[in-house]
Amino acid sequence: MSKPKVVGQRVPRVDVPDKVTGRAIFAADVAISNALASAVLRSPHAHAKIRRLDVSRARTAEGVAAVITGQDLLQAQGLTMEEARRLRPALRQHYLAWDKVIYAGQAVAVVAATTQEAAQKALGLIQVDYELLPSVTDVETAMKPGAPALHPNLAVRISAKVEVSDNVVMRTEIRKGDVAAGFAQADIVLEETFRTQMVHQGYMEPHAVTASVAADGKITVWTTTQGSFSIRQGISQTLNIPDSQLRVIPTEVGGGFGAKAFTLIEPLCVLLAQKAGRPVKMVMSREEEFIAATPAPPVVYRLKMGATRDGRITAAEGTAIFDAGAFAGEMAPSAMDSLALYKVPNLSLEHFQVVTNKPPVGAYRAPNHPQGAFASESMLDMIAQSLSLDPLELRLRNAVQDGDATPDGVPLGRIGFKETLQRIREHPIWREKPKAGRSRGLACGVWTPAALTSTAQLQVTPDGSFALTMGSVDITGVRTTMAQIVAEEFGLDMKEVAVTTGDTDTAGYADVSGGSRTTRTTGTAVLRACQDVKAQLRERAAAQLRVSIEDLEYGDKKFWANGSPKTSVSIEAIAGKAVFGRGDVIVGHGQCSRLGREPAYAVHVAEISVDRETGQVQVERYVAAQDVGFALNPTLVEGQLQGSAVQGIGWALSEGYVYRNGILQNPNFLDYRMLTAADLPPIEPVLVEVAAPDGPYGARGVGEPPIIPPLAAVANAVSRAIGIRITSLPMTSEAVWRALKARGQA
Amino acid sequence: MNPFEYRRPKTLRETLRLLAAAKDGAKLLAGGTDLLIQLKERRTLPSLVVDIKAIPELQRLEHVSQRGLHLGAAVSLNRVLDYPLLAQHFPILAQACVQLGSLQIRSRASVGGNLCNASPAASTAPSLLCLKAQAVIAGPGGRRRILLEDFFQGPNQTALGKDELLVEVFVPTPSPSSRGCYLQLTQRQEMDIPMVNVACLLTLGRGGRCQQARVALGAVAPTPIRARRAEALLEGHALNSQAIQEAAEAAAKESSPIDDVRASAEYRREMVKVLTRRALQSCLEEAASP
Ligand SMILES: Cc1cc2nc3c(=O)[nH]c(=O)nc-3n(C[C@H](O)[C@H](O)[C@H](O)COP(=O)(O)OP(=O)(O)OC[C@H]3O[C@@H](n4cnc5c(N)ncnc54)[C@H](O)[C@@H]3O)c2cc1C
Repeated sequence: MSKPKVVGQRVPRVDVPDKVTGRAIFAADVAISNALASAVLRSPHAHAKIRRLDVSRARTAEGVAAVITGQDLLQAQGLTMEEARRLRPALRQHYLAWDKVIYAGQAVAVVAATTQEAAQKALGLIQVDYELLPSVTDVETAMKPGAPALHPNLAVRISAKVEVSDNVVMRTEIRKGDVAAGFAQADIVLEETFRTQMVHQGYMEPHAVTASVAADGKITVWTTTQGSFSIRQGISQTLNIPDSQLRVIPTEVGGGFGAKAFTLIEPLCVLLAQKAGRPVKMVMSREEEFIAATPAPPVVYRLKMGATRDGRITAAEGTAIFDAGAFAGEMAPSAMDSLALYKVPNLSLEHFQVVTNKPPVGAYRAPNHPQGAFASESMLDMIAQSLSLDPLELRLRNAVQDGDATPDGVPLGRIGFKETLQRIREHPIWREKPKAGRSRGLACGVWTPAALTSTAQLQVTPDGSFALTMGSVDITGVRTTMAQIVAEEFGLDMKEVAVTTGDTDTAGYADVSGGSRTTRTTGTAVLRACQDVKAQLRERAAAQLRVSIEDLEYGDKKFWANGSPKTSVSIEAIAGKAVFGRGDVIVGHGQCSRLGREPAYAVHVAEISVDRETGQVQVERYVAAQDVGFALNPTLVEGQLQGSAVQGIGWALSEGYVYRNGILQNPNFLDYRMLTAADLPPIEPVLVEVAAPDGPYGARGVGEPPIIPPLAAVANAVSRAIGIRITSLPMTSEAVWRALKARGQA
Repeated sequence: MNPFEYRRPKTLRETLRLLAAAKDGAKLLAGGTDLLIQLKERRTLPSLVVDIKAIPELQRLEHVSQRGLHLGAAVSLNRVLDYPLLAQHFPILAQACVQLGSLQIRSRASVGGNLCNASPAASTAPSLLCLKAQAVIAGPGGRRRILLEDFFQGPNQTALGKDELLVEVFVPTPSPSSRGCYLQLTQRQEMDIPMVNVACLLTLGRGGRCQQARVALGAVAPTPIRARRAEALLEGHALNSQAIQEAAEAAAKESSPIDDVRASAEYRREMVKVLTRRALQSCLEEAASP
């Protein structure tokens, strides 16, 4: 490739002017003139049987158009109560309770009414008799035999070494080599248990949906989502509606971070619209987002590691317990992934997934990896401290490199872990001594994006402009980077490329935007669409110039025959011919559903100070380095590194769900503390570019890796500052003060 | 939000009339940074909301030399902070105001609202207690004036009757030889409610002798309080680090914090000690520097 002109540049985001001037249309802005408002009745109890649920008075209340309960949902699903009971443990989503509530905040009934006030008022007319059941919100208690059972007739056999309760819904195991022999070779063996809290993704925009049913039954849904096709699937499967009867239109998204990848309230909104015979709008409040969306799982992770005196890891053994919340979910083998950074010859890891009376957990940026890395990267720091080794040197000694096998046996391709570590080694934050009173912590992380599927359609318009349509939702600047690719491939100005995220009826299929896959997979689909268009244009140009395709040259939106640039044919001339029946329109297609496994590595350094009397931690400096392969748009890539780091630092220092008697105590942004610009220094990004063979222009996935290291990076810095290993998050000032006090130092 | 009637009277008399007519059902609106949240969360369901920002008396901001500051109840914190004489005569009030909420919050929030909301953690309360501020209250029977100490009656409870409102806070100008300090402990730098806040105001005589001491604490009792035993330990004594330490410990003993989602009682009590000591130390250092 000759030197790129548009990709690799700091092109401003195409969506930003509308967002910063308040013009962008978010889901809550969608206003259909006769749409009904809605309100949800939620369980006040963490665990209770529903003895009686009477919505008759609400149904007849003034302004009320429809009320739905779990019974209506089961009916729509074609399930009997008995079948539903049997299926329950396997259900990932559980839109409405029917015979019992399993967490405080679970939806019990939904009302659609002419005004918000009428809907709210009607909630007060719904009568529910609850029979309280014992609840459990702590995963270690939930796991013990005799704990209150959430799904009593659960038929999952767990062959664990220890006796566990029925709340353990899944167990997996990874083994490699001989752990006992590995520990025998070690000069030191350390063991510790690490704990993280339930955290929220903290997206600014709450969930909002509008559903409208046409006279012929066709349903249109406007929603805030990371993937319109995922929403279509969620609705169609829940309500038995064929895809052809469903059109999902994604609006602008005010943040999702995984929490908007799947349906949450969409099926309820559709069912209400069907019952009411009028469009219905549902908008969640901030409190509802906390108590009834899909936060990230807390993890208890016991980890034991052995190393030789010169810092070679000989074995690792661990047990990670994931708190799934109310329902069994997917479980990424994060513990394995966080150890996949290093050559660990002998490995034995056990994962448990346990249900508790809390909202069902969902995806949050690099799902489960930050929790795993908190344990393993803290452990590496402990090993470095015990061996008096530089923590970066320790990692270099053990770092995986090209060709090494991952724990599941697949050899690594070209990776940039060592390059990223080396960049940090040369960076002032590592080279120079910290100022007095400050300490540093280092941690690493890796994420391997899945490709999933994306498609793209590229048209050349009659005046020679380009119009790109894709199914991928823009959450991070995708429209901008995809337009950059088209501009690059055809030597265009950004203004000559129109780019749109279509809906499920107008765009080709695309899986969710997330998991650091979008730029890679959608970008590859766009590149392929460009190749398709190029081939069509060349064929047309060759015919017009009466030369063979191989003899064509291209530049400045024109084709000419080799050696005779004076006789050229422009894209505009070709495209202009292809309308009003004078020729074929130029439409190119591209799709991608397979890419090589190309992990991306992040290395972070936090520099902090601790007020030893109050326990308050101040982050003074923060550097985030990452192998990004190729930064298609450095400004956007840096934004990913910075935003991730801020989320991770918040997870480390101040974020966390606080439960008392099964009730969340801090369902608001005042007492659930995400950090603000006032709390943090500028996050310094360092982009390392070790090209990925399969990524567009060498790009790697960038969104997930940078949230993995901060938890451990900050914890390692704090532990070094106070001389006490912190093993539980968040490290609030009180928590740090307690650690100091326990040592008689506060 | 429940529907309610909204009025924006231009006079105190009209406001009092509206309050009397509404009986129990009215709520006063200053900046609304507390009230709007309570309305949205249905923690209060008034039938009438009376916006008091258009009443001239409540927008008064005037320093009458030697005497004190007339701080209208509805004046926004940003306006207070922009007032040129504030930092000079009332530094501990400035320190408290500038740490409340965030820039956006401060452009709406008022000192009057902060006091009338009567949170035990109210940011401006400890400084105003140290400054011996008075609450000027208007009601159907005319005006009355009480010490701020007597204004707070419990969490979210004040000495205001249903048909009364706070007109202004009068803050007497402290002695030019006084030194003060306000400190608060929050988990975040901005957008946070103090886990503990402390204000101190010392009038120091020759040889570092403390002629008068005021120590006030927030978030560690049902209302913002004065730490009288700490004050007594300081007054009439030459201040050194031991005296300060003893006063700080006395202040911690005088506090009666609770455990809540923001902090434990134990931590709060310990932090009263740390913050009081630091605040007193800062007063001494300031007094020592020319
Ligand atoms: C994000 C955020 C951060 C915050 N941070 C802080 C903080 O750091 N420290 C802190 O102390 N507070 C904080 N607050 C709370 C709030 O901003 C303050 O208490 C503020 O000073 C209230 O003033 P206001 O003018 O907005 O009051 P309003 O909301 O208008 O009124 C508050 C209450 O007082 C009553 N009232 C108002 N004026 C009068 C009057 N003249 N007479 C009688 N009753 C009256 C109202 O009816 C209402 O009950 C924060 C709030 C938010 C939303």
